[in-house]
Parts: sequence; structure tokens; C-alpha cells
Amino acid sequence: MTRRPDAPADPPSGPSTGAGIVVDHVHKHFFHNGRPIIALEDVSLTVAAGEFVSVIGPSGCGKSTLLRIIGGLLAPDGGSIRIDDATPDEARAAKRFGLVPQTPALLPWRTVLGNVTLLRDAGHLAPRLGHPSDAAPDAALRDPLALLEQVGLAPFAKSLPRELSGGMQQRVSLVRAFALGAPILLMDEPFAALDEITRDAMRYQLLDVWSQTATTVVFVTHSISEAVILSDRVVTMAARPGRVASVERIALARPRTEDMEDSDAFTAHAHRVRTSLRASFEAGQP
Amino acid sequence: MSETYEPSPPAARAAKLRPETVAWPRRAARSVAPGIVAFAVLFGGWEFGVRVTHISATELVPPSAIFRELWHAPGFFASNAWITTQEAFWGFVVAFAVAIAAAVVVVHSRVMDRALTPIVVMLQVTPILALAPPLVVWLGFGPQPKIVMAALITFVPLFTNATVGFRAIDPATFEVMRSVNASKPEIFLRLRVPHSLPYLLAATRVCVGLALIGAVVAEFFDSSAGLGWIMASAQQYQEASVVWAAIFALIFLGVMLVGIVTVLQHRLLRWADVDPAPA
Repeated sequence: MTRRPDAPADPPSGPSTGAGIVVDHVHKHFFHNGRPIIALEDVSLTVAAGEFVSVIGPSGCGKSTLLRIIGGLLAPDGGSIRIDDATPDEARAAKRFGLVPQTPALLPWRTVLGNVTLLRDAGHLAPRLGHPSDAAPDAALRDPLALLEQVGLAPFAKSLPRELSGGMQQRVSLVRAFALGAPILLMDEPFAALDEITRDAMRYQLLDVWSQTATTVVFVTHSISEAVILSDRVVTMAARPGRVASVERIALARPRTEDMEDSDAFTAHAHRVRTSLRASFEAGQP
Repeated sequence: MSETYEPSPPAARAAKLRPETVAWPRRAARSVAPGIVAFAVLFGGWEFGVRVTHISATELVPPSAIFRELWHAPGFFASNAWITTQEAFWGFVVAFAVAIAAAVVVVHSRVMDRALTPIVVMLQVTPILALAPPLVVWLGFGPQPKIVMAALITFVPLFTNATVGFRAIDPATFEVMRSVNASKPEIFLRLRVPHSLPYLLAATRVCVGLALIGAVVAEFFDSSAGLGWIMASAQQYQEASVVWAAIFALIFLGVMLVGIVTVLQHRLLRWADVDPAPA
């Protein structure tokens, strides 16, 4: 990647600096059959630069909605979000988010490598098509082939997505987000559709890549063990209306290892998250 | 990642899994042979039936008479088939361009969707072939009424498939593109156009036959060239074998054109998991 001549000598968001997120008293409601449903009520949350935060909660607690609001894909009805000194829309325009959805969401006609480079290519049609901004800091881009190598997919760089298993496709989706070099990764249950064995392996692959990039991660999940082993903090949400129920700081050392999942500290953390989830679940029952 | 299972690279896998390592002439022979036998049975039975029952050639023409007509004047049928092909082709091109433009508008604007849908439904239920006589009256004896007929008859399938194809994008992929602020034109080119290709090519396959029918029917009325003109004038002089020869030429033409579309489908849709063969 060559750097554009007009790029600043010292880009504000370099390859290994995350960005902080401040969610301040955010409200969001939807209408279902004409009646308002409160998806998020007075949600406040701060994520430090480089922090790994999981959001866990029952279905319908608004955790995916929160992720979309942070990423500027949905507008809140009240409150505000700051991504460092920018709004989510500005951050989105500056390609500061890497989104990893639940499904791999690969383009079937592009090779694995073509999919990985898709997001950095996006916006380069700009001059011809009147794209509003062209603000990708090229310096932040990471070598896609090295990333594929790291997750064991280098031999498949030229393959089409349909030739890969579901777990491999999801790894491509992860690499695509990392290859963008975005300081913030937003992951919406990225491992939910995978079998348990693949899931277990993917946690450590994710941590492996993340530890070298020190990006900020907001990770939505249904799995308590996944949340605890991955995160610096686990945010528990309650449903109807969606709100933050508790925040658990995980005291496990890094790098995290599989042995830690059998430790007393892990069990204690998981227990507290489970208790909080159960309390919020029972409180939400009529 | 040594502890996770990896299947072997796709090239190696493909070599192992593909049983068709037989040389291509044999493979082709195998796939074509049943069709040839079926044709032989069909035409043999037809010929035999005509000869045994002594039906007069004006009522049921034996295949031998049809092939004789084609054999004696191949240039005559070929040049008229070429005229029909051009009319059908330009009609298809016009319909394709209008259908794509309309689909782009409809996909991006709910108001335009609601405005155009009734017109499309109206067009869909119109017996297009019945429009041939008035079209000839309006547009004269040149190629115009044939092109318009071919365009009208192919528009609805093309428009419907373009709309469905443009909308067939995966919501998650759409969100990923939005997360990097991809513009609407960019999402159109990078997502919607490739996603619509299987739909458009399937529609094109269907439209090959439709466009030919449209052009031929328009040629029935007051024209001076084309396979439809041959059929209409031979009918007038009760030359049943010539009518049938023109029908056979039309069938042959259609099969060749569908073959071209099939090759395109295989070339362009390698990535798709679906078998593009049945339309």
C-alpha cells in the first residue's frame, strides 16, 4: 500500500491504537404493530481505547441494537455517542469500524483474498461515483496475506467462499475486519452459528490476532464462558426495556489460555455473570 | 493453529473428488448420446407413422419432406432466420435496457415501486401477441413492429428478475458495506449487480424463446422477410412442408441461442452454488 501524498505524516489513528467509545444516556425505540417497543433505555457505557468489552444478555435486550448505534448504522432517539472526538457517522466515514456480523457475509464471487480486501477497496470507486469522503488512512491497513496465514487460511487465499467450511468462512470474516486496520471492531455474535469445537478454537485465534493489534472490541454474545475468557469487562444487559444490568471486570491475566477456563477465578467470574443474567431475566418476566 | 483440523487445499480436494477424469470426447459422447437416440426415435416414429397411415402430406408432413426443404434451400432459410434473429435480438436489448433502468429505480424508491408495479402487472396480463396487428398498423412494415413485439414480450420476465436479483443481497453483507460508508452506487455495483446475474441470465434463457416468438408473430402480418414471413406465405400457398421447414429452422435457431446463454451462465456463475442449467 502506498501512502497518498496528502496523507498526514502522523495519522491520528495508527495501526495499533484503539479508540475509546462513550455511550451517554442512549434511548432507542422501535414500533411493532404500531406500538412502541423500548429497545434501549438510558444506556450508558464507556469503552476505553484498546479494551475488549463483551455485551451479554437475553434475546431482545437490545445488545445488537446498541452495537448498531455505536457503529452508526442506527440513529439513537436520545442521548449521544462519541467515538473519541467524532460521531459514529464520522467514524464510519473514516473507516474506523470493522464489523463482524453473525454470518460470514462474504461475497460468493470474490476469492477469500478478494473478500478480505473488500472493505479497503470500498470507497475507492469514490472519485467516479461521488462518494462523500475518501478518508481511509492507508497507513493503518494490515497485510491481508499475513493475517490469513495467522488463522491458517493462507492456502485458501485463491479459493471461493463456497469451498470453505462455515468456521473457515467466519475466520475470513474476522480477517476482513482486521485487515481494514480499523481501530474499533464491532462483533455481533460472530461465533453463534458455529459448532462448539470450532467456537472454542476461534476464541483463541481471535485473541491471538487481537493482542497484536490492540484494537478496541465490542463483542456481543450469548455465551457466558466466551464473554469471560475474551473480555476485560463483561456488560450484562436486561430486556424489556433493554438496559445495562451489571458490569463485571475480568481479572484474568493476559494472554488468556485454555487452562484458565478451568481456574477458580474464571468460575467465579462466570458465576457472577450468570447470577446477574438470571436476576435480570427473572425481573423481565411478567 | 496446528490443533485445528484443516481440510486439504481445494485443488487437491477437487482432484480427489471429481470422478470425471475421463477424456472429454467420451464425456461429451456420453452426455449427448441419449439425446440423439431420443431424436431418432421421435423422427423415426413420426416418419413411420405418416408412411403407414398414408396421411396426405398436406395434413401431416413427414420429417423427410421437411428436411428436404431445408436441404434444398439452406441459404433461403438461413438468411431469413438471420433477419428474425436480428429483430429478436434488438427487441431483447431494448427490453433489457428498459428493464434494468426500471428495476434500478424501483429498488431505490418505494414511491416509484408503487407507481410502476401496476403498469408491469398490466403488461404481464396483456396478451402481447394480440398486439401484433395494431403494432404493424402503427409502425409500418419495417423491422420496428417486430422489435417492439420482441421487447414487449420479454420485458416482464427481465424486469421481474432484475428487481428480485437486485434485492437478493444478504442483509449482513449490506451492513458490512454500510459500516465502511459505502455509497449507494458502490453498493449497487459491488453487491446488487453481481447478485442479480444468476437471475438475469435465467431470465435471458427464457427470453430467447419469447423474443423469437414475438418477432415471428409480428412477421406474420405484412412483412417481406423472416421466418414468420416464410410461414405465413407458405401457409397461403398450402406448402405445408415449407411451413414446417421454417418451424424447424426456428427451433434450431432457438436451441443455438439457448446454448450460447448456457455457456455464459457456466462462465459467469462459477461462484454460485446453484446449477444454472434449468431455467
